[in-house]
Amino acid sequence: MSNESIPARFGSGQSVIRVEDRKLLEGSGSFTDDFQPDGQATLAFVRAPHAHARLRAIDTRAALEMPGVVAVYTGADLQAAGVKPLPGVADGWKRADGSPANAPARHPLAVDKVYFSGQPVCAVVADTPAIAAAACEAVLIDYDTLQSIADPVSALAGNAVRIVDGSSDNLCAEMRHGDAAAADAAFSQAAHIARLQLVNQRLAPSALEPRSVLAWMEDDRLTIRLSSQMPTGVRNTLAEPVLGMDADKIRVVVGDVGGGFGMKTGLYPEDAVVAFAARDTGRAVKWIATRSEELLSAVHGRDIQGSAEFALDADGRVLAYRIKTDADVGALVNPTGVAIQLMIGPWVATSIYDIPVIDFHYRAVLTNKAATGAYRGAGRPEAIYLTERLMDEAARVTGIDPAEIRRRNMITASQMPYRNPMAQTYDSGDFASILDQTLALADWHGFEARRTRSAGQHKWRGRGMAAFLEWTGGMMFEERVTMEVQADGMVDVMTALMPMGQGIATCFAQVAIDVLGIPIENIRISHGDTDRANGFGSAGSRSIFTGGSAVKVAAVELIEKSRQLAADQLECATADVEYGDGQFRIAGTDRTMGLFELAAGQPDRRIDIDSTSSVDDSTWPNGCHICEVEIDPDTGAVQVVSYVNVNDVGHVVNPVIVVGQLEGGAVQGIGQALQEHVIYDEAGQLQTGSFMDYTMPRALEGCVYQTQLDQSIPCKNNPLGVKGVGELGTIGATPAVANAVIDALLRGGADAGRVAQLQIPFTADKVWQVLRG
Amino acid sequence: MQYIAPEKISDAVEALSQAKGSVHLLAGGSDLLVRMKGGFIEPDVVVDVKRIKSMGKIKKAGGGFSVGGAVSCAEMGDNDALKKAWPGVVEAAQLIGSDQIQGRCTVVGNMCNASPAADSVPALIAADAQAVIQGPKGERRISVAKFAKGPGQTSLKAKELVEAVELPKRPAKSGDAYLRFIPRTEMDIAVVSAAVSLTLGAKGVVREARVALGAVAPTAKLVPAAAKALIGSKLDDAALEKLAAACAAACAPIDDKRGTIKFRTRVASVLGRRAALIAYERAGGKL
Ligand SMILES: Cc1cc2nc3c(=O)[nH]c(=O)nc-3n(C[C@H](O)[C@H](O)[C@H](O)COP(=O)(O)OP(=O)(O)OC[C@H]3O[C@@H](n4cnc5c(N)ncnc54)[C@H](O)[C@@H]3O)c2cc1C
Repeated sequence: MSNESIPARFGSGQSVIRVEDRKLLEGSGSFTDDFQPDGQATLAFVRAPHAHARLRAIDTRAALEMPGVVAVYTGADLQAAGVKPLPGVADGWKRADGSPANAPARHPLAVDKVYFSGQPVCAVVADTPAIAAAACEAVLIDYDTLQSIADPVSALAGNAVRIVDGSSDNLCAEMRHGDAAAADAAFSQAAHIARLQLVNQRLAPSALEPRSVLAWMEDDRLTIRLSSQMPTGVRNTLAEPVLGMDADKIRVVVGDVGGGFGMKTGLYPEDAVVAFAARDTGRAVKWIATRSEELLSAVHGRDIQGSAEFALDADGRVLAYRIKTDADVGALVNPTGVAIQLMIGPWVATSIYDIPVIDFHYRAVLTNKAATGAYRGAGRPEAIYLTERLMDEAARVTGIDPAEIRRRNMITASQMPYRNPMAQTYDSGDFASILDQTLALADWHGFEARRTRSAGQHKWRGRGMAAFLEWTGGMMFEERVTMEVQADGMVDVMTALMPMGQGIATCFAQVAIDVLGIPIENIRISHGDTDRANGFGSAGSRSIFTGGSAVKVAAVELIEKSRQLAADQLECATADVEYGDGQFRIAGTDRTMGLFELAAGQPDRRIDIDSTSSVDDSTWPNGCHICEVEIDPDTGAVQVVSYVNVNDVGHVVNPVIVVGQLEGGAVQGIGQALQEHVIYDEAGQLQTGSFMDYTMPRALEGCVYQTQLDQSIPCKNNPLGVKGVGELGTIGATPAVANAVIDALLRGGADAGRVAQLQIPFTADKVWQVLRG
Repeated sequence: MQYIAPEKISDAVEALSQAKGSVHLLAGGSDLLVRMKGGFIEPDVVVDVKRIKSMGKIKKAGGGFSVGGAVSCAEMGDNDALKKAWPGVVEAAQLIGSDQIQGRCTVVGNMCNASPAADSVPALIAADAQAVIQGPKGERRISVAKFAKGPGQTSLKAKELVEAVELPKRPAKSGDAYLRFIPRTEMDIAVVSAAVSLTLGAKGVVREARVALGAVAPTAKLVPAAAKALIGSKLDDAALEKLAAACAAACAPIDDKRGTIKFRTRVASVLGRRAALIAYERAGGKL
């Protein structure tokens, strides 16, 4: 046994082995589909085969007559039963003229019209999956197909068919930020202008575990077990707004979640249908999405295109930043999808640079595709991709080294706290120091020798950088934590944060250990039950920063309360009671009492605390990522050969988990840069409906990462000093890799005009076309 | 659905003759089961060949090798003699799928599935492999180059099955190689592929050559003009240029999201050239 104290071994800062893993590795996790209640029925959806069509008639009689079929529902059936559409975009968002945002109602099952291929139209409930599938085939639906809108450009053409009947156009919502006149003035005086036209393609978040929902009634209460990042949000949206039930008549339970990446935030139409079916039939009803259903109808990510321009002075300082983009948000618009593009992205668009003037114009446009929503990074990858691609372009236009031009524009540590042009305040950061550390680690100046070596092997080498920050927190800073010391030697911690694989339970336990000083085996973290804890849930890299902080506050309050109880037991003044490593002691004596012993002596044999606390503001994790690639000029194939990154995520609770987040996140960003792409054809049919065609990255697509953490700049907005890390890796990787590919192509002698046309993903085929014309 | 697992070839042929409705042979099942689960086929009868002992072996035959229709690709990779004689065929077989798939899949299944992108087929064609077919009228042989008729279509007649593929005797100073291009680094379907088999004569001059391409036409195909470009050369630049041109000329690929016609055509010649260089080195040639 080591002599080190328990906090020194298990507390924050240590690479403690994840408490979650044993159960998962032994195959005893509890995912939604692991629950098989007796008499469970299967629900399956009949989905729209067309991207845009009117529903003329639905004939469910043959399906209903099949033995084993319990119920068949149409949108009209649900409407008649009082089920209302999911909350839409009209409440929070506006068009240029101030009128409410424009989008079709989000009925859980289609009513009158279908708006994207894969939209749920009917639901069949049956005794077995096989019967449900057969009954879906027996539902006859008559459609009148309409012309479909494939992209924002055709959506905004004057004669385009209207997605919302009777509306004046297909614009959903619009926002402008900044000072257009000041920007015009800056551009007219600029010594240089850097300008790019960029597409940030549509992606499929693709969690390993698909959406899974099981619902049943107990007396008049509905319980829903599902795979979700936000149990409370699911309950609250489902309750009054959709099913017309009181929230306290609904319990949402979440077990293990096999990945979320943002696409399991909030209520899906399918979830509402399953809940309704359970209430209506009295059976336990389950729906497990197939992979194809996920690719068709779970939210997609990104899908925004437009122009970005810097006005620069002769020294390469950015005088003004202009952005004009159109986001393709699909038809049945998810309000989060609009928030991401119109608001969250803009918050970080000036990133780590001191840019005085902005002129941003964002539009959300309707098309006949699945809705976009949160996907790892949610708005920040879009914004940082523009800014970091443009920084490299500015370096080329001015002839300044890419690292140097970034340094010249950086906000300095002495400018903290810094308020950016979107009125966001950065509490801390030393971006130049992070840049310098990364340049050294990546041997930035030794690149030429490596390039020569690659050239000897007939490979074109390039390097790319992304220096950036991101925003976390979800603008929800308050968290409630309950803690109970049990007489049997366990401390129960209950929070509303919802892990989806990131190791939150381990990190929360470590934070608690810092205060409680007890072994990690004595701490039990629970989550995922709206009867026990409610809150925003996990999204936007917020869990450690808001939830971890709240755990710390609760632990401190618990010990405070316990000291008083201990003082009563030890018959001394509270002020004389010290606490450490699970023991209370009267200062200067050897009279002690254990924490659990104290609990055992309480009337109900436990000590509990119900603590609600809040952090002060958002955090600003940041980093510098440098990537080198090799291109095979004969085939266009790109290989990432080195990936070096230094990150400031503030205090680090568990280094192994944090590095895992950064490197796993980078693989996701590399996937976007090189291969992932949700493709629809002109008729709105999804062309990438399986993993055969939607090319997820594999371990081999990455390389050996060099990842460092600089912990010298703690966050000032929370008691832990943490900044959050869930999305940082993904945000940095896409521009770093893309910049490296562009660099390799230009150094290799590819035509600059054609290179400028190239858009991610940089597949071999596309790179090769740039080389061959 | 009826499932039959005969232990003798003759019983398998008999079972095929008796069976009514849609009859499918089952080897590793890595294509067949996927198609059944996807609802693309609904067999009435499945005849599993894996219990047929004679089909489960790699045998030396006529100076060459006979690879039975129930031999998994993993087993091919474990056979040193086979690997030494036909490294290109074995590397093609071992590119199929993942470790899990390798333990099940067979080159006969790969060939009978008749995908234009099947990995082992170009290598088998370049190797001048023969398929040994058993049916009600006895045994017949057909060159693997002529086996596929189109995507999913083979020259097997009703009630026939493939017992094995035979690889011919290998002369000294021979080598073969297979390369494919996929959008990822592993586990994907070839966008283009190329196989080259060479035998060298005196002084490293190519005496015999066979070149085959995959995924550039409805079936994998032999490209005699490409082979001709290499024969008599020591793989000098001029010969490689001619090879590349012949490969490009032989392409009639499809245009889809996985690769445009132009890209597939160009990469076919790049891969042909690279595979030729590897095969040449394996044959003991020095560049
Ligand atoms: C995850 C995954 C990855 C894959 N990756 C690749 C890849 O990289 N490259 C590639 O080429 N393929 C790939 N495949 C396809 C498949 O694995 C190969 O085609 C494999 O070689 C098929 O062999 P099998 O023994 O499993 O065939 P089976 O599925 O058993 O049979 C395939 C077909 O051949 C017929 N058949 C089988 N045996 C005989 C016989 N003796 N006589 C006549 N007909 C017969 C069957 O009826 C069926 O139509 C992949 C498949 C999966 C599921």
